[in-house]
Order: sequence, then C-alpha cells, then structure tokens
Amino acid sequence: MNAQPKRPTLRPITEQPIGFDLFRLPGLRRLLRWKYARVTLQLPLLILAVFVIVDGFTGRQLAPRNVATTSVWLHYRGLVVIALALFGNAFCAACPLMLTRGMSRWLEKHLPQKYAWPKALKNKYLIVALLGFYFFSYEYFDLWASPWLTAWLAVGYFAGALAVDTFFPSGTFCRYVCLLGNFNFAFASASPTQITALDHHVCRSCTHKPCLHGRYSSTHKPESLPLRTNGSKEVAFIPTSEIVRPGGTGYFPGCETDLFVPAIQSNMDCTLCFNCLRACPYDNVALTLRTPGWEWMKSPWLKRGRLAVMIMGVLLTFWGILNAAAMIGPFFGIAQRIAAGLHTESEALVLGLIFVAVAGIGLGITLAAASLADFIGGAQVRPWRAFQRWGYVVIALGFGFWGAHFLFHFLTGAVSVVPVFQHFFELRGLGVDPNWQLARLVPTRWLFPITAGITAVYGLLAFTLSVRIALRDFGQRGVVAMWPMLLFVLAFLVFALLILAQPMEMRGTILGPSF
Amino acid sequence: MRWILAILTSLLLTNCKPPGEREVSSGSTSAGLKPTVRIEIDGGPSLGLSPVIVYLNRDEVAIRGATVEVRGDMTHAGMSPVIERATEVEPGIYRAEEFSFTMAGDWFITTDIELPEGDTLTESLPVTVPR
Repeated sequence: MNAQPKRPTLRPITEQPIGFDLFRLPGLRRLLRWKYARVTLQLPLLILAVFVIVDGFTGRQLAPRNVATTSVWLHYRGLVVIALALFGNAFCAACPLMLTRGMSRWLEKHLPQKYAWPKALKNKYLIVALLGFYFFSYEYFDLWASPWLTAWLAVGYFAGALAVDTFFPSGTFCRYVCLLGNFNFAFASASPTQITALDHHVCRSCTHKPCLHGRYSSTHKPESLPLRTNGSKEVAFIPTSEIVRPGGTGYFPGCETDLFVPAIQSNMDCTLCFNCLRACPYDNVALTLRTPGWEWMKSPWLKRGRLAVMIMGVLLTFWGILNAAAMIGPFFGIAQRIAAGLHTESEALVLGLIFVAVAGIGLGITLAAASLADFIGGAQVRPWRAFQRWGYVVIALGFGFWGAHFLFHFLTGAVSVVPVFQHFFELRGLGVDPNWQLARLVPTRWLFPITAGITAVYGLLAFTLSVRIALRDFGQRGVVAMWPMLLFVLAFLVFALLILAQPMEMRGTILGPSF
Repeated sequence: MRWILAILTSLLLTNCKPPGEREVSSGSTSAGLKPTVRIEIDGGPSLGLSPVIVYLNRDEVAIRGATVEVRGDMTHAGMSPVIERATEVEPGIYRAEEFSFTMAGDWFITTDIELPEGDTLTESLPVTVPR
C-alpha cells in the first residue's frame, strides 16, 4: 500500500478521454460504491424477466398482446439503443442474468474444479457464429411473433449464463458467449461515456491492482482469502483503514472481463458493472464524458480482440441492414426469386443463403474499400490490416442504422406497454380494461424524418471519421486515400435511407404466412 | 433446491409445446347450443379499406341484437390494432364497414361478441394481407 491519491500526474498509462466525471454528480459515486448497488440496478429487469417468462408461457399467444414479445422485441431493443447513444452500456449494468451467480457458486461446490475457457474460444468468433444463428432463427422461427419462443429465449439466456459461469471463470459468459452483451459492447463504442482512471500515477504505483483482481477488506485479515476474479490465486487483503471511502467490508471482486482501468481505451467488454469502482482502494475510478465514438479514432480493438472483434462489428452492421430489410417488400421479391431459381420451397435454405451472402458481401466490400484506401494512401496492401484500420467507419454506420431501426419500432409502439400489462392482469382475473388505442409515441409521419435523421447523423460521424483516419495515417496522401471510404459511406447511407423509406411489411410471409 | 423447483415449475408451465391459442374460439355462453361465428373479409384481404363481415347464428337461426367488435392485430408486437364496431346490417349479419388493413403481412382478426343475453364469445381468423 504505497500508493497515494492526488499526486501530480505523470504520463498516462494509456490515452484516455478527459471530461466531466459523472461520478461527481451528487450521490452517484456513493450509491455505486455501495456493495449492493448492482443488485439494485438488476432488480427491475429481473422483475420484467419474470413477467416475460410467465406471460410468454401462460398468456395469450398473440404477440401484440403479450408482455414477452412486446417488452423484448419492442421496448428492450429500443431502450438499449437509446441508452447506448445517450449514456452507455446501461443494460449490461442492469443485467439480471448475473443474478444466477448465487446458484452458480452453489453448483461450483459440487464440481472438482473450475475449468479454463478453451483458448481457441477466447475471441469473438464464437459470438460471430452465434449471432448468425440467432439472426437466422429470428427470421426462420418468427421469434418476434411467438411469446412462447420468446419466453424460452429468456429462460435459455438464464440457463446459459448459469451453466457457463458455473463451469468457467466469472465473466466468461459476458465476454465470450452473450449475444446481447456483445451487441452492447460493439456499439458502446459510440457511447459518450467511458470508465477511466482519475490519476494514472496512483494506478502506476498500485501494487495489487484490485480493479482487475479484486480485494478483500476488513479490520483484521481472515485465515483464508477468496480467489482473484480470474481464479488464479488469492486476492489481496487491504485493511479497511487504508481504503478511501470503504463502502463496506468483505470481498470486492475486480473486473470479470479482464479490464485494467487505466488501460481502458474502449467500451469493448465493459459491462459497466462498476466492480472496478468498488474494488479500487483509492477511489480513483471515473465515468468520464467523452465525444461519442471517441475510441473509433484510437484503434483500440487492435490491442483487444483484434480482427475477430472487427469482423463481429462489421457483420453486426450488415446483418442489421438485413434485419430491417426483411420487413420491406423488395426483400420478399428477392427471396421468392431465389426460391424459384433453386426450385425450392425451403425457407431455411433461402434464408440461410441470404444470410451467408450478406455476410460475404458485407465483409467483401468493407475489405475492398479499406484495401483500396490503404493502397491509395501508399500503405503496403494487407487487406485485413486495412480492414482493422477503417472498420470503425462501418461500426459508426451500423450503430446509426440499428438505432434508427429499433427506434422506429419503439416510437411506433412504446405506449403499448400500458395495455399489454393491463391485459396481463385482466387475463389473470383483475378487473382491468386495457386501452388498446395506446401505442404510438409520435405521429406516424414523424417516423421517417426521425429515423433518417439518426442515420444521417451517424453517417456524418462516419464521414468525419474517414477523413480523420486518412489524415492521421497517410498525411497529405490522406486527402486522396479517404475517398474509397467516403464513397462507401455515401452508398451505405443511400441504401439505408431507401430501406427506411419503404413501407414496412410484416415478416414471415417470405414463402407463406407465419402462422 | 429452490432453483430446481423453479425450473421444474417452468417446464410444467410450458408443457414443452406452445399453447395453441392462435385460432381461438372462446367465451362464456349459457346452456344450450353454442353460437356459430363466421368471419369474412368483403372482397378478400387487401391493403386499405377491407370491410369485415361477421355471421352469427345458433342452430341456423340468426342472432340479432348482439354487440360485435372487430379487431385486427398484426403478428408483430407494438403496432396499433385496428378496432371497429360492427353494425347489424341484416339479421345475424354484422359488418365493420370502416375496417382497414394498414400494412401488408400477417394479421389476426378477432371478433369480441356480446350476445343479447349477456354471454360473450371470441373468435379469431388468421389473415395474410398481400402486397
């Protein structure tokens, strides 16, 4: 314990954004340093999950009247993108799946040991495969129309979190398996907040790195200490008397996804669980306001996750386009032409081909535009390196489009939460009369200007990012090197706006009705 | 143990297959023959105005004086339902003249019927509205 807070700052361990620390808002730091802060954040979503599961299994199997389908496919997704755009990864912070920890700790006692997550899976390729399967299933099984399947999906998530974090170190599920979490990780890169260190000098001289490994604090050292967050050895004991704003005694876990606060340059893998804030004995952790997309200029994924993370982000963008396009007329025409050309009525085959094709086209055109930009800039042509340089431009576009799409649905039916819950209680015998006229948050005629506006704003960010990356990496030649990506952005925007301008149609009618 | 009980309860609740409630015919009627309900879309389902006709009889005798509400729900959550009151145009024939499909795709037409004696009846019909 040789570190002292508030010393003059030397060179930072890594460049981090400098801005207002949101923990300075009255009461917030104290609240979040409280040992039970996260449980408090998780309770509302846990209660919602119970409603989803109960109504999904036992309620009316009509999507617009069921809590499962309405809250999951409409409200949850809409609020996720709003939170990411305006604040950060709030939904991982409040994730109720982590409440299975009590059960997994109990189950662990019956295991001979914890297992190490296979090295071959310590990347995002499993997530890429699971995302492809999930998006395919969403279309093929019409998840959006089935309260029953939606409830099973929720149960599956809880079971998955329980199973993975029982057999493997805590945080394995979040980092390597959870699709919702990784969607949030990828697009939290657009968020205006980030965990940072207040004073890097304090971190530099910190011996035990509790923000990463955890700590145990009490007045007297116990005979045995719990293991570090990664299970490697015992955590450090730091007496309560040495803790700045102790916030309780006992075990304070560190970062379950292996993030060291002063080295964080990206929101990738940060669940905003605030373990770091609670574990830091020097109260040296900040939640700093930054320019949205600040990290896109820092190429942080080269240091963490590398190619697999960028492939995940780019595929999320293009499957996002497909996810929205599957609700407009031209998509059905293309699907039916493919089916006719292959003389097949198999929706699985047609959808499978479309998903593979979109993945191939998305990665292909991103690689081509990025390689061309590098070539013009005078760099040695290494397509995957170019892909990792310019991929952030696609992530910016992807977030804009997902945001526009999810917001479209949210604004179309946000207020339906009222009659859907009224219906839940009506079905169970309470004398409530649902007001089904409640649905829209804004008039229909506003939807296109709003969604197009969001797409355009993030398109402008992508445009600016292309210019800045080009000038950063290629100097004067950057003035020419930026053009392949600028044209890419322009083409993407035109295509995105065309999709948003189409009248929405319901899914499930590709090769026949969904019922 | 609590968790195992919770999982077992869930499995019992779900019964491993979805509740088959998409085509419902439910309600409470007093003793006697259950009324027959037939739903038709005048001219077939199409985008825009598509009057819905509800035929209501019991043992081939038209039921007069019922209150019939026609509701259209899309299969996707969050879209406003289309709700129209049907008026009796002939004995046992109720027509929701202003009913309008606002989007192509899959819909459920549900009729909520209150019979003159106060009994209630619900009938649903899945419909695909072509582009």
